[in-house]
Amino acid sequence: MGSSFYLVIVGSRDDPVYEADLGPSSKAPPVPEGTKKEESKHLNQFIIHSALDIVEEVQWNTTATYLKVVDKFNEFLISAFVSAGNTKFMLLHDTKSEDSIKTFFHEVHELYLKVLMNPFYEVNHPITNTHFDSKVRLIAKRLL
Amino acid sequence: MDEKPQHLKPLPSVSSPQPTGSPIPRMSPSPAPSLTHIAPRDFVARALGPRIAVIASSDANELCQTNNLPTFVELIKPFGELIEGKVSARDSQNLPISIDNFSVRFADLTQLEEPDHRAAFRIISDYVKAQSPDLATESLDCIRTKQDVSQRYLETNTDSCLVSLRILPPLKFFVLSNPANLDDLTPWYSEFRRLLFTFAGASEHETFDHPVAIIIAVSSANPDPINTLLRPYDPASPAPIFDKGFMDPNVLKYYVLIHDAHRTSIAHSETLFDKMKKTFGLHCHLLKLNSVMLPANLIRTSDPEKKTQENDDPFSIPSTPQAGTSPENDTIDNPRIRDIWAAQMTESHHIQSRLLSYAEPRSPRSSSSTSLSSNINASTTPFLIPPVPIMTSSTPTSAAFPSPTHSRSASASSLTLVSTSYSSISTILATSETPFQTPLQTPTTADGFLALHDPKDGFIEQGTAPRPGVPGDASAHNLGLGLVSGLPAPVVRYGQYLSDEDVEGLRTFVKEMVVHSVIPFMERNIQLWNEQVASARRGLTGRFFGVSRRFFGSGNKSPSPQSLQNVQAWGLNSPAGVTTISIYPHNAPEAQMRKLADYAFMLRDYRFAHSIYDVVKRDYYNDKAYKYLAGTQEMLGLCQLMSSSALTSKTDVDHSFELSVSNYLNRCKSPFYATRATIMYYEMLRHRKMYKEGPTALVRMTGEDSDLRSALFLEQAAHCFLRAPKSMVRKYAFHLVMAGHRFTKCGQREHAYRCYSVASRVFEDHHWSLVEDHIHFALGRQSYHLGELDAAVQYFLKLLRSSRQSAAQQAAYIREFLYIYKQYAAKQGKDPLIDSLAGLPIPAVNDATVRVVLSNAHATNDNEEAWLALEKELLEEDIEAGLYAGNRRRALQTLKQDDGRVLCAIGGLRMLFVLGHHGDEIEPVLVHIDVHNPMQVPITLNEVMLGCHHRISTEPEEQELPENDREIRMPLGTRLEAVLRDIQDTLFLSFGALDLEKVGEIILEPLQQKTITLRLIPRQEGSIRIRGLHYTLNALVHTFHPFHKHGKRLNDKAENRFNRVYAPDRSLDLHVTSPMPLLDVTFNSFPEVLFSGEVVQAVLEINNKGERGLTDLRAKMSHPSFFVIGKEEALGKPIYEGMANPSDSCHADEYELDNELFNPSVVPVLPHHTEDLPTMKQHVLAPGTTMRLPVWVRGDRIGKHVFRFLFTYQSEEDNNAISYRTLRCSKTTQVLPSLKINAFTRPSTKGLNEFILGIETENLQTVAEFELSQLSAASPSWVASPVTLNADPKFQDNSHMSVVITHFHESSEDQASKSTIPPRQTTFTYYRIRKIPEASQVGEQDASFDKQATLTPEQWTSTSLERLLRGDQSKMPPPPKIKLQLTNLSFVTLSFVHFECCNPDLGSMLCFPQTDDIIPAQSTPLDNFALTSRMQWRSASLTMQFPSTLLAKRPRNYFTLYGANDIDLALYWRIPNMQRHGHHYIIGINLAVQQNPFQGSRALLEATAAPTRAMYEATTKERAVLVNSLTKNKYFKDESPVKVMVRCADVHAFDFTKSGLCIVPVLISIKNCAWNKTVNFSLEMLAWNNGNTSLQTGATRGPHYKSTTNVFPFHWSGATLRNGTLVPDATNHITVHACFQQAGVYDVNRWRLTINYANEDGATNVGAGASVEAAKGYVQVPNLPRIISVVQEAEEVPHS
Repeated sequence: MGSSFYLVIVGSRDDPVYEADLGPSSKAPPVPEGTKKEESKHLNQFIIHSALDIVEEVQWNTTATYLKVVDKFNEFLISAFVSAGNTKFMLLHDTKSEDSIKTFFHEVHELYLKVLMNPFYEVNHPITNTHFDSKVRLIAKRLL
Repeated sequence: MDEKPQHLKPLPSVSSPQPTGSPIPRMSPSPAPSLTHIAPRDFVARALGPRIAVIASSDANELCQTNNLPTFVELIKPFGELIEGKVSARDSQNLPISIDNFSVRFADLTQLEEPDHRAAFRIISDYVKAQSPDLATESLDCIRTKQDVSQRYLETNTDSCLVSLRILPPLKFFVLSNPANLDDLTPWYSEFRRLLFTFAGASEHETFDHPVAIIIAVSSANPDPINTLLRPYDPASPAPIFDKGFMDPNVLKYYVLIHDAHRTSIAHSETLFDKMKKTFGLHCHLLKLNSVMLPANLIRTSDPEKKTQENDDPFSIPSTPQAGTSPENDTIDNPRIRDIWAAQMTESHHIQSRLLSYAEPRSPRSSSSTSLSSNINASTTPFLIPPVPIMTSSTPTSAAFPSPTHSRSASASSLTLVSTSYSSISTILATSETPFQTPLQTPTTADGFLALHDPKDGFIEQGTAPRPGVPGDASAHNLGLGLVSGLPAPVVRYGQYLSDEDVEGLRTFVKEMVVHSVIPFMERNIQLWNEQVASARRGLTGRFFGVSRRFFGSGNKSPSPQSLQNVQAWGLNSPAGVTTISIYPHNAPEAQMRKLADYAFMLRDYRFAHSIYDVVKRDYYNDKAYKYLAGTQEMLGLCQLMSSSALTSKTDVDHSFELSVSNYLNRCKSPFYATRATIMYYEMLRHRKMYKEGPTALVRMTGEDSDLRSALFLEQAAHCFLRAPKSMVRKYAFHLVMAGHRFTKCGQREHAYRCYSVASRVFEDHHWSLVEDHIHFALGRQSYHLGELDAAVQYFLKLLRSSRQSAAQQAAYIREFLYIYKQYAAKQGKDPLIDSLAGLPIPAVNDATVRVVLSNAHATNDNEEAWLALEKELLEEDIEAGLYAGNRRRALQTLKQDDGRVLCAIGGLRMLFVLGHHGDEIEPVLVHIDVHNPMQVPITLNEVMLGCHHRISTEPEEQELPENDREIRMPLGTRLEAVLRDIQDTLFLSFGALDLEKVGEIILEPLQQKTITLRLIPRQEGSIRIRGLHYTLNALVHTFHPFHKHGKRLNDKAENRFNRVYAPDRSLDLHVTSPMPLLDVTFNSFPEVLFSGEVVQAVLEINNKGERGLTDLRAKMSHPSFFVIGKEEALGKPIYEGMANPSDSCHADEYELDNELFNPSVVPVLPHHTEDLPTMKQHVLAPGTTMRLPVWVRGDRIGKHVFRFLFTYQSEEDNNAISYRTLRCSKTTQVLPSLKINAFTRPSTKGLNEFILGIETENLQTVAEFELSQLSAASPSWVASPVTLNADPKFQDNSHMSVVITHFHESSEDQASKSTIPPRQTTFTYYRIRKIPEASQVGEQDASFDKQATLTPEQWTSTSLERLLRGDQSKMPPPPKIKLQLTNLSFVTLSFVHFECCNPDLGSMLCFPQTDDIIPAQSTPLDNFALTSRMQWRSASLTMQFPSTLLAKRPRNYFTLYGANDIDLALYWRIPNMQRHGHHYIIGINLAVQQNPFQGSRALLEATAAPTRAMYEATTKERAVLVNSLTKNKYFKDESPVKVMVRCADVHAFDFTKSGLCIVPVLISIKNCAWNKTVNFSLEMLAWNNGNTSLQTGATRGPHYKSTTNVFPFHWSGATLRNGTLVPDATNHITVHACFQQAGVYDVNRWRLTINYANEDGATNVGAGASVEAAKGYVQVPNLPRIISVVQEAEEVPHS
């Protein structure tokens, strides 16, 4: 699968707490044109950020934490997950697969909770934990 | 060309900078009366209003030209825009509809065609560019979050709405009360929208732009008006548009006769009009104009040439209006009338001219230089009189046309140039191939003037392209004239001869025409077509009809069997590659249906129109006429939106628009119509407040084909998000950014900048790093291109940070930044290398860790705590010791030193001259700065230097200096010639009060952290504030980084605790004092490995590198017992060199000593120099001198040690800021084990109060052979002597009684074997210790309570303790000095042992002492070692005995160094073959009776212990602990002070046969060993005890020891109970007699002694004892047998 994913965990103050480019799995050859990738990196942030508006609208219409695909921009889809603390998990993807994204979100959320339990971690501050990062990537590799 | 009415006023624009290439005058949006305030619904209705074509005869046009209006169309155009009052029409059901705001659009018949859309877009682009975004940016700046949207945002717009209301009275009907008028915010968009509709032209697929009627106008001056009116239908000149077949030529014709009051009389006109009515019927009108009379002198100014030309070409645009500047022209200037046309005229000429120039797609683009040169040529042609700018700035139409391409300043002068020449300039435009240019010739009037515009802008470039057949220059010139001649001069009086009545007449004319002719005509047509065509389709049959027609192919009844025709593509807008298009001829039913629907739409019968569109859509679909289909779909949606009823389905409407747009775009390749549809859709969405749907519609049209449109639409979409029921600020920002991106792409820089900067507010402070980078980069670039270099620099500064950008990207950022900064600096006239740029974020400087280190401080950061502890101890010690008592000021300063400032002395001026040689002899202050390169690219720092501020005052700076960082320039000091050589690229700059080091280059690798060390040399007293760091980034950008460092957080007040308040930081505030000495210390030949106990001499080199003499040097050591620092003269002196002592080797030396406890860790190296003693100059170490002092190191403890030396010293002069300076020094040494020594004492049997000392010495080394050389004993009252027969002849006679003595048969071999310990061997030596008789004497004197005599240490301690308990605060006199007896016992008393190992090279130091040499134990290093060791032991034991009490904390006040009965031993040894020597101490042997140190009254103790009320609980507790430690201390067991010795002959021969009983006298000596107690004793001699018979020789200690030696009983004879009293140190000898019956071995040590303490009077005093046991008294029994052998002997053994 050549699709790539981009995960952002957005704190309740709209600051990105964690970002990860969950590129295509290792099987797929790396994107040859690096420039294209570079270019889209900030676009990804723009898309995710603007999708937060939709999340804010959608999250009150449902009791579920997983909001499915909330927005789309050109060929990109944005799935979202809102935690109880109003932390938003946003995933930018270009293929539809609701179930796997749902499990992905739940597992990342679980990891995030563990980070939250760290007494040295302050809410809404960037997560610099490398362990968390590698775990997220592992989950992404497994599920996405 | 069909113009919509406009009220756009160009404003002067000289003030604001212009984007390149835009000649459009700045339109300030708010005061401009424009369509912007027309409600969206109205707007659509107007845009799709009926169009009326106009043909005017040349004389009619000429008549208008006298009013400065080129054609009749222009004259009546404003009046079609709004027909006042309601207009009623009838709908398809013949029901009346009342229409508000009906409007018609007039257009010249020849200009009905579509203009070139590409050209149109370019014009629009120019106009958009001209819109100033200032206002909008302001009001949008505040929007950052959702909460910001509601109030201010909306209010702002209400205000601007009101503004426009006030300015625009005529248009107030159209001003909606919509509070948030989007058009005010984005005037460029409304401009775009308005212009887009301006470019409407007749298209085949819809009929809105087809004329509904044709006005044919003729002037009354025409010689043959009737024929002229008929002429338009001459076959010779039909309008070409009708040729195509899709336009119905059969429209209403309306004939107008214009009465020109200047030319003809009203009667003449009326007759003509009557004639007209007869000829043409009802559709006629007589229009009276020019009621204002022509001034006489101007009546005939036209020149004949002009006349002929105009007559030839009736469609020409006589665009040279009359100048109102001529002095003769005194017509009434009616601004109200003039304004009707002003804006529209200006713009229409702009557009015309641009359209012309842009519409030449195939002409080669000329370079700008060509155009420039041609312009220059143009301006120098003889046609032109030197230009005179005539407009006044006050007139709103003084439109400036700056040419911004080259220089901005020049633009002000290159304004509209007006030639006031009256000479007839007849310039005929070269006719071009394009049909549009044909009519655009430039007729001139004799009295006309030319408003000349210096054409330097882009569109002119094209227009000035050389054309075939015309010389380039000429054509350019002509065209330039032609173009600009259409421009109205600022003071053009439009309608100058029109009176108010005339204007009213025009209004009436239009209204009458519409109401009486046009609307009825349309109604008639609607009815006609409805009946003829539509009804046939509408029914069921009609539908079948349509289907059957398709499927059965029998085109039986259709009016035109071939409905759809393919014709040649024409026009400018046909997509590339398309040669044919399909059209329906105008008489085809499909076309008629469409026209029917359009008419119904125009008459606002939307429901009916919708039904027709719905029907006809199917046909178009089936015919695959996609353009028609798209148009119909568009109208279907529009009808639903326009109708007043509620919307049935939003998605339906959206769907139809989506289809329409996609059809327009994909099938028809007609983005123009797609855009138009989207705009109308969007307008209607706005009308219905359906903002949520807006973005979808708008974003649909943001394809790649037009960046401008996309940008505008994206921006509108962004605003829609704000206005959606729930504002979506993030979406808004995102779309703005996209819009900005598109604006960038199409070169609309100001708009791009505006979009980005408004959007950036939303993204601010949210750490979306890539987003921020993108925005900042875009903003930086845009501001650069807009010439705002300052802003550009600021934006680029934000990019220089740690980010996720790649290294290449960051390198690009830096490169661009440097480039821009260079330009910026050049523009500002700054030198980038000197003027600093504030806020440069790279490298990141860690302000908090900026630290100042004095060069005399050792930069050992390890174990800072240990050092600080040492310093603190030293300070406390000094203060406690009253070292500063005499100098209170100094003491205070010492304490005050803790104000956080750094103290430093002036650097050595003297050293300047020798810098080259002694580079490090100056005293710089080192400043360490941690910097970090956050970028992934290396950066260079050049010219790195500190920024400092010098003050004369020495007080700490209270107020921060005002930080005007921007003003700070690179300071330029004078360069010092003397350069420090140790760092390359380093030079010092002098600034008078200080010198600063400047480092040439520091390279920071990507992400590198580095500590920069810069030096500063203070040169004047005062204060130096280190304010920041100067550096030049990459040798290009100089900047100053101020240090912002705060002190520790304040926590003392509540308000401080609630907020974060920090103390001001003073660590960067240097206090420069007068010159100070500067110490440097080195240790030479410091041992790395030592044996335990070994003593080695090292050399301490102290060097004063400062400016002043150094004195009062002291060293505080972490391991005081290891070191002795000697005097200078003692250097090289052997330690163990014996002195040739003439006296006996075991002679006891005597010396006096302070018996006070002291702190051994502080050692004075150089005594303090005082002024009183000028002779003490030798205690001052002069500047620049070095002193070598011996240091003896002794391995006191085994292990690896880190020795810390803290040297403190003072200046010889009083320095009121620095009382002393310190220097840290540390050394490491490992101490190896050597000898293990055990010592033990036991009471000697030979005498009362005598002891035997045994020393067990074990050699722990595996190779070294130790040789013991000497034992020294030091004690106040005891002396040691060897236990030898020879050595102590005194006891010779008793020697046979001692068991120990048997070991001591002296011989030389014995001696050698005892003094030499081979590896891993142990040896024992024994000594006798006895009291010094003299000391006993003294003690006896003491015992007599002679208070005047010196106190014994015990007394002193007891007294001081008592005072403590009493709470006596008065100062205790120090303990009396004590006299120590020193006994030196050499192991080698005889001279028969010699060692050959003496190394002559080493001199006598290591030389083995001569036979009778003894080691002088009281000589320099040894006595100090002994003292420190003693002190250490003493304090350790006190700490152990009194843990955590006051006593342990301040032992000095209560305890003495030596007790009276202490004896310290020193065992000297050497390793001959390794030439090492050393000694061990045996300390802590106390031979006194154990006693509690407190001997005061017991009542006092109890009173103290009793719980009393104290103010503080802690005090009570502390006392309890203290008392407890005195009463219940396990270390103090009072024991009986009385010692008993039983003496008798060992062997007693008695002839039992001679006499029966042998009576032997036994001497019992009783001695009271206490120093202060008188005891009462009662001695009871015990009888024989026939207990156990087993012989026990072992000493079983304990009071109940029972001798079992005796086999036979013996008896005491005489009194067996004795009582007595013993004063301290008194001895009582009692002789008792033992009575033996037979020979045998008897233990006569059988007695019991009961002891009670006595008062002074001798009575038993129970309460006086210090402890309970003592109060009870003691019972002593013997613990060792005293054997007597009674032998049966005839021979008498004499009793001694």
